[in-house]
Amino acid sequence: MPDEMEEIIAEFVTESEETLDKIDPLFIELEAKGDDKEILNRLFRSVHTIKGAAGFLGFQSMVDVSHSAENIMKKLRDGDITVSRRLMDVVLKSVDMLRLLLKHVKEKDGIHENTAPLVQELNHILEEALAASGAASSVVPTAPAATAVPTVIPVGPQKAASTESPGPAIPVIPDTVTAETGQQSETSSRPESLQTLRVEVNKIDKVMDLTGEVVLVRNRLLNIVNRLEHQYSDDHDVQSLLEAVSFLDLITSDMQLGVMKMRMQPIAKVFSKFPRLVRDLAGPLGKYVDLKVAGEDTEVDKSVIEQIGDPMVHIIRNAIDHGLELPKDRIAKGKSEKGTISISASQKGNQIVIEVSDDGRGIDIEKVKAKALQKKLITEDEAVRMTDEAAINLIFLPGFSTAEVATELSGRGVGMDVVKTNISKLNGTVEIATRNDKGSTFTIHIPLTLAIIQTLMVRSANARYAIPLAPVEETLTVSEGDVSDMGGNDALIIRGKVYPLFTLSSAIGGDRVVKAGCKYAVVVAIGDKRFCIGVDELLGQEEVVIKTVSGINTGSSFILGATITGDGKVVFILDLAAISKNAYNLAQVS
Amino acid sequence: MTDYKMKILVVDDFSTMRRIVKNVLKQLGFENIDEAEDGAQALAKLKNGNYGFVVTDWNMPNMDGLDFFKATRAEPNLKGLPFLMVTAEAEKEKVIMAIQAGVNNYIVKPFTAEVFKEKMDRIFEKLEKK
Repeated sequence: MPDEMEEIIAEFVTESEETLDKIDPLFIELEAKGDDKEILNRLFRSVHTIKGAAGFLGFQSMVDVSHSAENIMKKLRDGDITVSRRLMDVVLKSVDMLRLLLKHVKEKDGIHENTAPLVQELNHILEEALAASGAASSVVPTAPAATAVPTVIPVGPQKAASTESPGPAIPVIPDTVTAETGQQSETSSRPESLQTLRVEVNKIDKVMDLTGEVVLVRNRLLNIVNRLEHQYSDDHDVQSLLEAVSFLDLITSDMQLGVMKMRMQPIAKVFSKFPRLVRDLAGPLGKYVDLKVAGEDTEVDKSVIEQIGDPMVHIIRNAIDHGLELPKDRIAKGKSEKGTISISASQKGNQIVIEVSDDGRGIDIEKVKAKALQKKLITEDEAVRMTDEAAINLIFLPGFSTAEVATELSGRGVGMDVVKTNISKLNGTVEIATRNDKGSTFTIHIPLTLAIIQTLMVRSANARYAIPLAPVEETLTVSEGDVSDMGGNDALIIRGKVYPLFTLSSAIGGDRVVKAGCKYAVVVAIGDKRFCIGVDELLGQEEVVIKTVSGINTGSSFILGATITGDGKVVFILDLAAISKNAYNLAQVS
Repeated sequence: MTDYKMKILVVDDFSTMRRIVKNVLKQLGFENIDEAEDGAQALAKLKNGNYGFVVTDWNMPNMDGLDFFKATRAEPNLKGLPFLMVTAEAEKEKVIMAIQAGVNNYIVKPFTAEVFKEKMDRIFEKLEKK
C-alpha cells in the first residue's frame, strides 16, 4: 500500500506538471485576447483538477493556492472581472508556486513554503478587481445561489435539459454556448486519446539498448553473409540465408526507428514555456514582442527535450535584451513598434533544425570584435583578418558578453558559451546569421537520436578507436618535421596558428610521450580549446550505435561508450572533452 | 447485496484521479474496473459494455460529467445505470443541478473509502426498493 501511494504521488506530480506546462501559454494568450471563454474554461478546469487531486493526497498548501487562483478564473469566466496585467502577474505567481510545491513533493526535500502571503495577494487582487468592476458586481449578488447560473460550466446539456426535463428551465448564456461548441469539435479531432500508456523511461531505454545489440549482431551477420555469398554464390542455402538476413536487416532498421520514436516527444513541451518567458522578459524592458511559434509538433528525443530548453531560453533572452530595440527606436527606423521573435522546429533528414530569429538591430560585428579585443580573446591582427562569420562566433567564447549595461536579464555570469556547450552535449551545432537592422537568426542542428553517432575511425598504437565526428574540424597528414616544440610540448602550426599536439596513446595513456611518432593529426575543437590528436591511421567515417560499457566509470575514463563494428570487434568511442582536459593538465605539469 | 464482480467505469480526465478512485474501489473489494478520460469516451464504452456502476468527475473537457450523464439517460439501454458524481466542493448550485438531472448521488472531493461506500450503498439500497 505505501508503494501504491508513492506511485500515485509520483503520477500526480508528473501529471500536474504537464497540466501546468499546458496552461502556461494559455495565460499569455488570455492576456493578449482579453477575455476568451474557451481559454478561461480550460484554465479553470486545469487548476480545479489539480486542486481536487491535491486534496486527496493531503497537499493542503497546493489546495489553498489553487483554490484562490481558481476563484479568480471563475470570476473572469463569469465576466465579473476583466483581465489585466496586474491580475495576471499574481495568477502566474500562483502557477509558479504550484510548480515549486510540486518540486518539493517530487524531491521529498521536506521544505515547507509559506503560501499564506500569496493566497492573501490572490484574494486581495480579486477583491480589488471586483471593486473596480463595481457596477457589474453590484448587479450580481454575492450569495452563492445567485451566482449559480453563470458558474455552471456545462452548457451543451442545458439545451437538452430544456427539451427533455420538465424541471426548472436553466437559462442559457449565449457566449458560453459558442465556447462549448468549440470544444465539441475538438472531440472529433482526437477520438482515441486514452490509447496511451505511461511507461518508465528506463524500460524503454532497456529495449533501446537491446535493439542496439540486435543492430550490432545484424551488422555482423551482414558481414558474414556477404563473405559467404562471395565464396559460395551458387549454393542455394547461402542464397536463402542472404534473403533471410536481408529481411532481418530491414526489420531491424524499422525496429530501431520504432524504439527511437518511443522516446520522442513533441517539442511543444519546451516551446510552451516561451510565451511566458517572453512576456516576463519584455515587460520590464518596455519592449513589445510578438512571439511566433511554428513546428511545435516536431518530435525530438526526450533528452533533447530536457536539454534544449536552457540554451533556447538564453538565445531568446539575448534577442529580447540586445536584439530588439525599444519601441521608439523601432519607429524611428521605420519598423513596427512591436518586435517579432520567431521560433520554429522541423525535421530535415536525420536532423532536427531549430531556429530562433528576431527582427531587431542585428549583431554589430565591429562591436563584437572590439569587445573580444578588450577582453583579450583575440589579437589586433586576428581582428583585422577575421571573417565576419568567425567574428560573430566570438560571442560563443567563454567570458564574452556584449551587454554594455548588465541588465537584470543578461549579465548573470552565464554567457553564450553555455549555449554552445549545451548544444554540443547533444552532438549539435549552432550557427548565427545576422543583418544590420534586419535581425539575427540562430540555427541549431541536432541529430535525431543520441544513440547513433557519426564517428571517425582511427588506429593508434595498434588499437582502433572511434572519435565523435561533430567536434572534428579537419584531419592532416603529419611528417616528423611538422612537429614543433613549444616549451617542451608538441605542437603543430597550421595556417599560422599554434595547436597543441597530443598523440592519442599519450593522451589516454597518461604518460607523456614526447615526440611520439604519428602520421595523422585530427584537429578538434572542444569549447574554446583547439588541439590535435595524433593517430597512426585514419580508417574512415562510420555511423555507430553507442553502447554503455559496464564496469568502466565513464566519468573518470576517456571512454564515452563502445560500439561493435561489422566485423565483430569492440571499439571504444572516445570522450574528447575528457581527453582535452587530461591532455592540458599533462601539458601544464611539464 | 453488493455485487463485487460488477463492472465499474471510472471517468476523469486527470489520470491520477482515476487511479485514486480505482484505489478506493479496490479497497472496497471491487475488481472489475475500467476507465475513460472524458464523457464522450465513457459514453462509447458504456454502449459497448455491460457496466453496473459509473463514477464520474464533473469537470472534464469534450463532454463533462453532467452532459455525459444526461446522454446516458437518453439511451434506452443505459437509462437505469447508477451514477455517482464527483465534485470538488459542495457547490450548492451544482448539487442541485445534478439532483435535478437525476444523478443517483454525489460525493465531494476529497473523500475516504468509507464515505464512498456509504454513498454507493445508499444508491443500491434505493434501487432495490424500487
